Amino acid sequence: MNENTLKKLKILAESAKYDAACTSSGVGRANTTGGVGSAASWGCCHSFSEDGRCISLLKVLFTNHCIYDCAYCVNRRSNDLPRVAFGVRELAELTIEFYRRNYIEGLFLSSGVLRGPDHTMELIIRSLRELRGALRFNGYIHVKCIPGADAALIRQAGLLADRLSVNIEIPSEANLKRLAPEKDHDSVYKPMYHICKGVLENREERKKYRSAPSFAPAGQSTQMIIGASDECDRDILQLSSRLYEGPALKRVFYSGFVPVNAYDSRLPALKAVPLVRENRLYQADWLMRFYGFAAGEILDGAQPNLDLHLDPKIAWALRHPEFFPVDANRAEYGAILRVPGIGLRSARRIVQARRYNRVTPEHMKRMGVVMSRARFFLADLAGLGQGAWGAPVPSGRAVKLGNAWDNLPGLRGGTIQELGPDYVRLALLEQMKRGREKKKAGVPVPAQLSLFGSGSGRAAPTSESLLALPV
Amino acid sequence: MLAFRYPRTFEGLLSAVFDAYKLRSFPEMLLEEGEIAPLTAGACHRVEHTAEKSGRVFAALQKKLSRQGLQKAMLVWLSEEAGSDFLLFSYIRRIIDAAQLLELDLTDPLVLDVNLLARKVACERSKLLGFVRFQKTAEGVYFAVIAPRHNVLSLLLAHFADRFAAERWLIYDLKRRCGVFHQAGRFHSAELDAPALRELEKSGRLPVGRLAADEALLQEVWRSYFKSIAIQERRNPELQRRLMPRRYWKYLTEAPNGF
Repeated sequence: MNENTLKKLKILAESAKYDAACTSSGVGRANTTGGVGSAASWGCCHSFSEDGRCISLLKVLFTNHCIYDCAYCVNRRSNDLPRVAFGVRELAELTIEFYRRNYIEGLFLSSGVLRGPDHTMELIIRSLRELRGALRFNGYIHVKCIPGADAALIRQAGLLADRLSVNIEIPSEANLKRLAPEKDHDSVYKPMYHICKGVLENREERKKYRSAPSFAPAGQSTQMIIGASDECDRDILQLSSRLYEGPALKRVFYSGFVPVNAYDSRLPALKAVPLVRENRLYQADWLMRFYGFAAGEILDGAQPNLDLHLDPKIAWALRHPEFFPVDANRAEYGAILRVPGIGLRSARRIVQARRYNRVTPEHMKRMGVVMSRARFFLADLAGLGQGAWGAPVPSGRAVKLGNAWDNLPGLRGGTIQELGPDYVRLALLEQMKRGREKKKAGVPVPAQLSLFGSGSGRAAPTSESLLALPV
Repeated sequence: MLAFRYPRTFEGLLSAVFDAYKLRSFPEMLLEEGEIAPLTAGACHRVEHTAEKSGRVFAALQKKLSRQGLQKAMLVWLSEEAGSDFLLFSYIRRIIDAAQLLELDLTDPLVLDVNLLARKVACERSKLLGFVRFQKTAEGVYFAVIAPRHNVLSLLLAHFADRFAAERWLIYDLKRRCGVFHQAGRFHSAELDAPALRELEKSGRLPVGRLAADEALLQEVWRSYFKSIAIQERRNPELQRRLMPRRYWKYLTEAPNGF
C-alpha cells in the first residue's frame, strides 16, 4: 500500500464507474475458520456516492489498457488516457484492507481487454485466486467476463466468484457492430450461455454431493446502455424479458448513456444523461420481475416507448380501466399488486390482515399504501364510516381534499370507471406536480393522505385542524 | 390514573406485566424509576423486578408468539422511542389475552404499531451494518463509533463476529456511552477514556496519533475512491442524502471533513 496504489485506484475506479451493477445480494455464506468475511444474502449498501448510487463493492478495472475501440466506452484505445494495471497481490490486499474496515461488501472486478479476451480473463482469475486462496477471503466477488473468453476460463472464474456477468451493452446486434466493430452478439451470448450451463450443471451436482464447490451461486447479470443507440423501450424490455426466462439471469441493469466520447459522430448528441428514461425502464423491469407483468403488457404494439411522465404501472392502469376498481378485501394478491400506489409490502400486509378483519382505507394508509394514487383504483372507499375519511362521498360530487392537495380545485371523488382515464391521468399528473413544487419550496410535504372534506359548505381543513384529528 | 413505576429494562417491563395481572389492574402510564410523575398521575404502583416474574411472562409470550413475533417485541423495546414501552406493555397484554394467534392481524392498531416500529429499528440495523466504519488503532484493534437513533448495537454483534472472527474489534455507541469489544469469539463490555470521548464527540474520529501507521493513508485512498466513483453528470446529492441521512455522516470515513 503506497501513494502509487492511490493513483492507480483513482484511474481504475474512474474507468469502472460507468458500469451500473453494484449489488451484493443473492448468496449467503458464513465465514470459515481462519478466513476473512462472509456474504449476506440480502445484500448490503456501504455508502452512497454523490450521484446517489449505492457503493457495495470495490468496483475497479484490473487494467484500463484496451485493444478495442468501442464508441461508447471511455477506455477505448483511441482515447488519450493514462493507462495502468493493478498487480495481482496489490489488488487483493487493497480489497482485504477495505473489507476489514467495513467500507465494502466485496470486489467487483472488470477489465479492459489486454492482448486478448483469454489473456485478460486469466489475469482476472489470478487475482481471484490470490484473494480467495492466499488471503482466504470469503466476501462477495462479482466478475465481469470478457466477451469472447474461452469456456474453460469462464468455468474457472465461476468457481471463484459469486456472480458473473457479461454486458450486452447495445441491445441490437446491428448497432453493436456499428459502435463496437470488434464485438458481436455471439461473443456476448456465448459466455452467457456457458455461465447458464455452468449454473445448471452445478445445481444438479450439488444435489448429489452437497460439498461440491458452487459455481456462481448468485447467478449472472448483464447491462444495457440506454440512449447510445436508437432501440426503443419495447425492444429493450422484450430482450430483458427473454433473458429473464432463462434460468440463471438475475438482473438486467440499465445504464443511461453518459456521453464520454462526444467527438464520435456515431453517437447521438445528448444534452443530458437520460435519467428519467433509465428510471422508467427500471420500474418496468420491477413490474416484470415482481409484479407479474409481461413485457407485452407494459408496452404493446402501438407504443414503442415508456411514458416519461407517469410510471409504467399507472400507465398500464390508465389503459385498462376495465380491470378496476379492485376490492382490496376480496381480490386476489396478483390483482391487488396491480393497483397503483400499492407495493409489494403493502399488498402482502393487506392480504395478511384481511384474514382477520375488514381492511379499511385508514388501515391501508398506515400499511404504506399511497392513497392519493390508489384511491382512483380501489373499490368501496367511500362510505366506510366516520373518522378521518369523513362522511360517505357520493361519486361524481366535487370534494375537497386536505393536506398536500387541498388546492387541487374541484377534484372529484370516484373510481377510474366513474371518472374516466383521461380525468384520472390529469389528476395524478397535477398531484405529482404540486407535490414536487411543495418539496422545492421547502414546505414539508404531509403524509400522502387524501382527506375527504364533507363537500359543500365547509372550508377545507387546514393543517392545524388536521393535527387535531385522530389519525 | 394509575401509573406503574418500573426499572427501565426489558425484564423490568415483563415484571410490570406480571404485577398488573397479579393486581388485576392495568396502568395507564409507565414511569421509570426516578422519573417525576406528571400532575395527571394518580395512584402509583412500584414494580419490584424479579427474575421469576419476568421469566413467567416471557414463557407465556413464547407460547403466544412466533420466533419472529418475539423478535419484533424485542426490536420495539430497543427502539427507545418515547412511549414505546407503553406500546409494548399494551401489546403484550393484548397478546396474552387473545384467544387465537394475533400477531398477524394488522387491522389491530397495536399489532400494526408494533410491526411498523419494529421495522424502523430493523431498518436502522441493516443501514448500520453498512455504515459502521472501522479504524485500525495502533494496538491493532479495529475501532468503530456509532450513534444510532435506536439502540441497535446488540443487533450488530453477531454479524461482525462472524465476518471478522479473527479480528479484535470494538464498536462504541457514543450516544449511550457503551461499547462492545470482540476478541476470539467473545464479547466484553468496553469503556473509553475521557480524552478519547471528547475527541470522538468533536470530530467523530480517533486522533491520528492513536491510529495504526498506514491507517491515515488507507483512509485517504478510500476517500479518493469514493470521490472517483461518482459520475459527475449524474450528480444527485438529494438522493444521496435520502439513502444515507446526514446523521450518519459524522462517523463515516468518506464524508468530507468538518462533518
